[in-house]
This record gives sequence, C-alpha cells and structure tokens, in this order.
Amino acid sequence: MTGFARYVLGVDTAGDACSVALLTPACVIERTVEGRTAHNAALASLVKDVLAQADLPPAKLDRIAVITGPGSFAGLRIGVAFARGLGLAVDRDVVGVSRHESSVEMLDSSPPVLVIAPARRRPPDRSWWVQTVGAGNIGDELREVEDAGLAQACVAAGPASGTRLASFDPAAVMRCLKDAGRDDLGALTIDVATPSAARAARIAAATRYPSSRPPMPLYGRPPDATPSPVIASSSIS
Amino acid sequence: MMQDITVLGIETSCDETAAAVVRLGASGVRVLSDVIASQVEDHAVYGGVVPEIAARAHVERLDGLIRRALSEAQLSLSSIHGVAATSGPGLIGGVMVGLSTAKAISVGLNTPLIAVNHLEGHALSPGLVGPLGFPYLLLLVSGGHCQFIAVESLGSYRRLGSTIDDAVGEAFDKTAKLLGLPQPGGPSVERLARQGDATAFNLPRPLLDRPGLDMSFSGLKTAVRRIVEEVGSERTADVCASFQLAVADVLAAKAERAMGLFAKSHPGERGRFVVAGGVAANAQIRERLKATADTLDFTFSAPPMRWCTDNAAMIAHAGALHLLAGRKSPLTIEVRARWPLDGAAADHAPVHGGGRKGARA
Repeated sequence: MTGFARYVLGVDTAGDACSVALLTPACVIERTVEGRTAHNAALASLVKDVLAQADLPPAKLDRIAVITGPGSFAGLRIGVAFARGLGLAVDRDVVGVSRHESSVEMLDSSPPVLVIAPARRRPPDRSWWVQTVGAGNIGDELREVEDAGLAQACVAAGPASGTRLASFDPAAVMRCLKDAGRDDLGALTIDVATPSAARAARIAAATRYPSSRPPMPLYGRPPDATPSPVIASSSIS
Repeated sequence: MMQDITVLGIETSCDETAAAVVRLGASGVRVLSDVIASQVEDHAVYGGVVPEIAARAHVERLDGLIRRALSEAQLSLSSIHGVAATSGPGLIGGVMVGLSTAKAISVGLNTPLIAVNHLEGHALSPGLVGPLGFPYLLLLVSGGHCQFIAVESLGSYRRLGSTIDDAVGEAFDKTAKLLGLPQPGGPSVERLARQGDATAFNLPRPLLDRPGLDMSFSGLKTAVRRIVEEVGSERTADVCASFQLAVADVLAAKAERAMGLFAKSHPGERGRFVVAGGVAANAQIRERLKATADTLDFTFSAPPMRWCTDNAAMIAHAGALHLLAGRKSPLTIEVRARWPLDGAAADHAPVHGGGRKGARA
C-alpha cells in the first residue's frame, strides 16, 4: 500500500475493547484492553505505551487515525476527543475511519464489500448498520436498516452485482435472513469482518489529501430528545 | 522568587464548552485568555439541557476553542506547563470529552495533567480577581449546585450545608418552564419579577423552620405549578416576584446561620463571605446576601459574573494552584459524575443523592 504518512497512530474505542496501534515503517505495535468501561481510563496510557515502545516522541507522529463509529456514543466521544486533542497538541491531521471501513482489507482490484454490523440486537427492534466499502477503503453513507431492509441490501449486493458481503457477526446475519423467510439467500457467503485500529492507521496513511474538517463521531441517529411542548408553543420572547 | 506557571484549562461539565489560559506568578494571577461557547441555543426548544446534545456539541467544538484560547493568549501549546480539565461532577458525557482531550494534550506535549473538581474551581474562583485570603465562607449557588462551604485552604473544604433536592438555578429554570418563559430561567424570571408584586402569592420557605443549613427548593416549584394551574398565565409577573422573594428569604436566612457558624469556628478574625455561581447575577438575591453580610460584619464579595457562571479560567486557576503544590493526576484518572468537595464527610452524611454510588456533590 502506498503511504503518504509513515508514523500513524490508530485509535479504536467504538466497541467493547479499547485498542490502539502504532504504524511505523518497521512494524505495527498494537495494544488492547478489554471492557466497555475501560476506554476512559485506558486510552491515554495505551497510547503512551506504544509510543514509548517505538521510542517515538509524539511530535514525530505524521498522522492520527480514529474509528468514528458506529458504536457506543461514550466510547466514540472518548476516542474522537482524544484523537483531535492529540492532533492539536502535535499539529497533525486527524483522519476519521468508520468501523466498517476499518474491518475489511481492500486491494486495488478488490470488488466492493457490503459490511454489516448489528445495531439494535433485540427483536422486534432489531436493526443493522450497513455500509458499502469500495476502493481505497472508502465507504458510502452509513445506513441503519431493519431485518427486511437487510435482506433487500443483501439481494442488491449479492453475487450478481459483484459486491461481496462481510459482517462482524455472519452467523447473526444468516439467522436474520432465515427468520425473515429468505431461504433463497441461504447460500450467500458472508465473510468475517473485524474492525481494527491498525487497519484504520493504514487507511489514514494511504489517504492522499486528508479532509480539513476534523472527524466527528458517526452517531447514525439524532439525539434522543423531545422538544418541550410548553417552550415550543410559547409566544413570550 | 516564584517561577511563573501557565496552565491551559478545559471545562465541559454542562452546557458551556470553555477553554482558558491562566498564568500564576510572583505578580499574582493573570487570565491570559478565557473563551466560551454557550449551547443555550442548542437546548432552547427542549426547555432544559439535554445531556446527549451537550456531549455532541462539546466534542465538535472543544479543540477549536482551545486553539482560540491559545491564540488570544498569544501562546503556543509548547509554553504551557500543565493542562487542567474538569473531571466531575457534572454531565458525564461532556466531562469525558474534556478529560479525554486534556489527556491527549498531556501525552502529546509530555506535560502534566491536573484533573479538577468543578466545585473546587468555583470555590477558588475569588482568586481570579485578587489574593485568596483563606479562610472564607462560600455560598455556591448555580444551576447545578447550592451549598455553603468553609474554604479553609487549598484542598481543605468543609461543606456546612446544601440543598437536599433542586439547586436554586434549577428551580428558576423549572419555574420559567412552567410559566412558558425562555431558558435560562434566571434572567427571564428576574426581568418579569421587577414588574410584579412579590406579596401577591404566599409561597413556602422550605426548611426554614428546621435547624441546620440544608435547603430545599423543589417544593417551591410545586407551589408555583399549583398557582399556575389556579390562576393561569394572567399573573406571571406576580408569580415571578413572589417566587424570587421566597428564594431570597431562604438564602438570606440560611446565610445568616452559616455566617454565625463560621464566625464561631474562626474566632478573632473578620469573616469573609463569598458568593459564586450564576445565581449571584440575580440583583435582588445578591442585595439580600450583601445586607446579611453587612449586618454580621462579614466582608462580601462575588467574582465578576463571567467567572461566577461556568468557565474554564477557574479550572485553569485551580489546576495551576495544585500544580504549584506539586500535585498532578495520573493518565488513568476517571471521570466522576458524583464528586463531593469534602469527599469523606459527604460519604458519611450524604444529603443529596446518597446511596450505592455515594453522594452526588
């Protein structure tokens, strides 16, 4: 992979683990702490650890990559705030990479991959985050679909279109399709996709022109809040 | 001679994103910059602060705001000796954003991190405008807090009493909401109160009949709701005036008791009474508290309004004092939604939100 940056830090706080990876020309150093509540306590020390192991002063970093979601809102904010704070401290670009983008290996000749991740897990509110990742590991817009929408997306992306399928949890996708009565899709091949801080760092390293807009968490949903009827109807200013 | 230390401060515990640079030196305290992005507009239609909206706004704005604070201070990050951030108590989603950003800057610059208790920032805020002169009696009265604190020295705080339910600012906000007035409620209610008759409605003065310094304001809000249900929106100004007078009566009476207690435990010196927090902006309440202090021969002061409400200068200032005293925080430090200023005492006798997780504030 062609790189436009040599020393890149990758941060992933979107899931149940807190992971960091330091990409150097010689090697990749990775550290992970398990536990959904570990992010806030662990992240800064993990970053300090990998930098120390590579004997790299923070100012020598060329770029910072952060996984922007989807995932736990608190985790995403810890990661994005950290990455942007570090970008500010060392005056470097921060590149946002979605979990989906970070979970598949794309070669120049690879066909696009529809990446599927569980969103809401409990029926009847079950839903899925889907994103099609193409050349350069760049994804289209992240969408949340319900079971029926997932089946449609799988059909549209099926073998006919040349798009491959991958999921963080392929078995759950197959169960969902079966539950939806789509036995016709039973023969689909769904690869395993795994989000990775190291891959996020590699994607960021290969980005020729990082966006000048700093990354934001990929929430996928508006905040859960209802306007107050009293205030909304009030004419007093 | 004491060497100058310059600290970057970050505040994200409620609905203000703020960054500031404060320098502590032989010539005193200098606030080199102090910037704030209020989210009032973002929350207006909801009639109160929505934690998820607040957290999203903090992460979007904080780094830009820090850049502005540095540029206004005409400093680069490399001339900063430490980075201080509010790590509680407050809305946890926002606090995480500030602390995580501060940790990143600490790692990136290899500079000390100082996690600051938001309440301590307020408690020490008189130091932003002059020598601190310990000890003093502090009334912290804001949208999130209402407590009397004996500030003995840096790191030594004794809570004498506090609200057992709503904070005063919260009571103002809720009253404004009931009356259909815009948020924040404090200024809205105060403006209308000027045109109203404060004796129009007889509202309760909760806990005045009981000894001690604890306060309660949720009953006041319920009383206001009953009046609104009874008389409709006809007499809004009278309701505002009556409500504000009730709050002023309670605070003045409790302040009188607090000063008595404080004087007893600090004999032989003239007492100092400091009021901090957004509610100190209310002219009637401030006048009443000042009059009470005058009667009991306490000096009275309140930091300028911009440092009474939430701000990052007070966080940078508290951080700088701790750094000077040789204290800093480990990178693994966690946010604390609940974090009373006098930790041990509050754990033994929680008056507010006690229980499994400990006292709230």
